[in-house]
Amino acid sequence: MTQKMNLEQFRLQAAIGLGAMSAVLAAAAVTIDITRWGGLGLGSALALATLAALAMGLVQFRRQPAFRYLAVSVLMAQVMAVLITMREHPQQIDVHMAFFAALAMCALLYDIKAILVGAALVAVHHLGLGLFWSEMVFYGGGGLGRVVLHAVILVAEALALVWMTRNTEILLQVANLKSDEAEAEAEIAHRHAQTVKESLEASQTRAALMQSLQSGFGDVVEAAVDGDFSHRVTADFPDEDLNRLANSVNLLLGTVERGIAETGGVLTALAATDLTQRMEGDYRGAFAKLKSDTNSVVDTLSGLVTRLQDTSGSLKTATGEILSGANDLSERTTKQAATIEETAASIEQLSNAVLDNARRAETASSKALAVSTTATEGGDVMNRANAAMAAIEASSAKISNIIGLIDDIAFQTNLLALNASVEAARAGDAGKGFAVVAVEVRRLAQSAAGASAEVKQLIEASADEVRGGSRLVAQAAEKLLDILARAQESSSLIDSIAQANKQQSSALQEVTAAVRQMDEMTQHNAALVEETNAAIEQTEAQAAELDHIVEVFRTGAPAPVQATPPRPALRTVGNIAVAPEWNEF
Amino acid sequence: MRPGEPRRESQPVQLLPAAVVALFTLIIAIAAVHTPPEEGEMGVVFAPWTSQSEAMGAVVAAGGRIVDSSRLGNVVVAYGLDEGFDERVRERGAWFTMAAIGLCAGMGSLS
Repeated sequence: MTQKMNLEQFRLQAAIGLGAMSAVLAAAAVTIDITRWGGLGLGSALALATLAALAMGLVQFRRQPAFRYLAVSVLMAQVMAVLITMREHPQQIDVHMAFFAALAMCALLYDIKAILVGAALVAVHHLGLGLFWSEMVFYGGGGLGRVVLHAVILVAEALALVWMTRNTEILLQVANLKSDEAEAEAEIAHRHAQTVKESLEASQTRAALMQSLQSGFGDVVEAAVDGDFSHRVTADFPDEDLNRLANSVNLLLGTVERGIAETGGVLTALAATDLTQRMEGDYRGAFAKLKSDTNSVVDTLSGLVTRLQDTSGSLKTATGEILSGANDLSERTTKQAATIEETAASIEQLSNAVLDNARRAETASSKALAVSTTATEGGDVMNRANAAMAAIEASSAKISNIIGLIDDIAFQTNLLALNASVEAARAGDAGKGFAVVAVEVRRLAQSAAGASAEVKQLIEASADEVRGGSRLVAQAAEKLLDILARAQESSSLIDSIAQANKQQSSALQEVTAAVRQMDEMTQHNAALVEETNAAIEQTEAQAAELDHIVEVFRTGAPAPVQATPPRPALRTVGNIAVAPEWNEF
Repeated sequence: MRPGEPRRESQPVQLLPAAVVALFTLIIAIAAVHTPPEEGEMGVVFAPWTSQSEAMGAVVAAGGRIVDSSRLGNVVVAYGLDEGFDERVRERGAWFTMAAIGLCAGMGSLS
C-alpha cells in the first residue's frame, strides 16, 4: 500500500496530522483557559474558531494546496491560542518555543511554500508580539538585538527545512526516474516472457512429433548409448522417410558393431601381449581410418617391442662386459693401493734415516766446532810460548853481556892484582902481605874470569836451545793454525751436510704426503669402483627384467640371441676387491 | 504532472484561507494582548475631546488611582483597586479600558 502512495497522499496525510496536532493544542488551550481563567476566553475562541476553519477546509478542499497552507496557519493559530491562555504565567515564554516546533512539523508536508507560509506566520507573530507584548516573547524585555537573534534562528530553521524539502524533492525525482526505468525493464521482461511462452508452445509441438520417433528409435539409441549395437529398428513408420531413416540407422549400427568388434578383438589380443592380430574387414570413411590406425598402432608397437628385445639383449651383453672391466679395474686398484701403502712405508723409513743422519751431522758439526775452538786456544798458547822464548833469549843475551862485563872486570882485576904484585914486590917486605893479597885477588879474579867464561858458555848454549825451542814453537803454532783451518773447513762441510739432510727430510715428508694423498685417492677410486660395480649389477638386473618383460610379447619375429653371461662380479670389502675363489681360504 | 496529482489553482487563491486564518489570529492576539486586567494597572480610554483633568477626575471618582499619563491626552494610566473599577469608570464617561501598553503605556511624566 505504501508503494502505491504518491506525493499528494503523503502531503494529505501530513496535513491531517497537522490538523490532529492543532486539535491537541486546541484542547490544551481550552483546558488551560478553563483551569486558569474559569471559562473560555480569547485563546479558546481562537483555537476553536481556527480548528473549525480547518475542518471546513478538510471537507471542502483537502486535495488542494490551500488545505496544506490552511493547516499550517491553523497550527500557528493554535500555538498563539495556547500562548494567550498562558499569559501572565512563568512558562508562557517556554510555550513560545512551540512556534519553532510547529514550523518544523510543516516540513512533513514536503512543500516549500508551506514552510515559507509557516515561517512568515511565525515572523509576523514575533513581530507583532515583540512590538506589543514583548514580555510574551522576550523574557526580561525585548529589543532590536533579540528580535534580530530570533529572526536569524527562524531564518536558519526555515532554510534548513527548505533545503531538506528540496533534497527530498530531488530524491523523489530520482526515485520516479528509477521507477520509470524499472517499469520499462518490466515491460521488456514481460515481452521476453511472452516470447519464451511462444517458444515453449513450439517446443511442445515438436515434443509430440519427437514422441513418435522416440517410440521407434528410443530402445535402439539407448542400447547404443549403453554400448550395445546389436539392437535394430524394427518398427514400421507410416512415413516412408522415417522408414528410410530406420534402414540407414540399422546399416549404421551394423557397421559400427562390426568395426568395434574387430577393433576390440585386436585390442584384446594386444592386451594378451599378442601383436600378431590385425583388422581385416572392408571399411570406409572413419572406420577405414580406425582400421588403418589400429593396424598402424599394432605394427608400430610390434616393431618397438622387437627393437626393445634386441636392445635388451645388447644391453645385457654390454652390461656384462662393463662389469668384467669394472672387476679388473677393482683388482688393479686394490693392487695399486697395496703398492702405494708399501711405498709410503719405505719412504717413511727413508725419511727417518735421513732425519737421523741430519741429527748426527749436527752433532759432528758441533764437535768440529769444539775442535776448532780448542785449536784456536792452542794457537794462542803457542804464541804465548813463543813470546816467552823470545823473552828468555833476550834475557840470555843480557846475561851474556853481564858475564862479559864480569869477565872484563875480572881481567881488569887481574891486571890490577898483577900491578899490585909488582908494586908489592917493589915494596919488599912491606909489601909482602900486600903481595899475598894481590895474589889472592889475582887468583879470585882468575877464578871469576874462569867462572864467567863457563857461565857464558852455558848461557850461549842455553840461548841456542831457546832459539831452537822458539823455532819448534813457531812450527807448532803454524801446525795448529793449519789444524784450525782444516777444522773450520770440516765444520762448514758438516753444516752443509746437515742442511742438505734437512732439505732431504723436508722433501721426503712432501713425498710422504703425496703418497698418502695417492693412497686416499686410490681408496676413493676403489670405493667408486665398488659403487660402479653395484650400479652395473643393478643395471644388469634391470636389463634382465626388461628382457623378461619384452619376451612376453609375441611379434612373429625370430627370438633374439641370448647374450653371453658376464663374468661374476668381484665381491668387495671396503676398498679391496675380493676374488670369489678367495672365499675358499 | 504525475498521475494522482490534483489540478492546481493559482497560488494567491490557494493562500487565501491561510491568510484569513492568520489575520484572524493576529486580531485575536492583539486583542488578547490589549485585554486589561480585572484589577491593577490599565489604560483608561476616554473620548478624544475629554480633557486630561476630566479623565483623571473620572478615574478618581470611580475609585481608582492615577498612575501616569500617556501619549494620548484622552488616555490615563490608572490602577484599579477592585474588579468593579472597569464598570464604574465606564459609567463615568470612559469608553473602555485596555492594557497599559503601546500608546496606552505610561510616559513617567507624573512620577
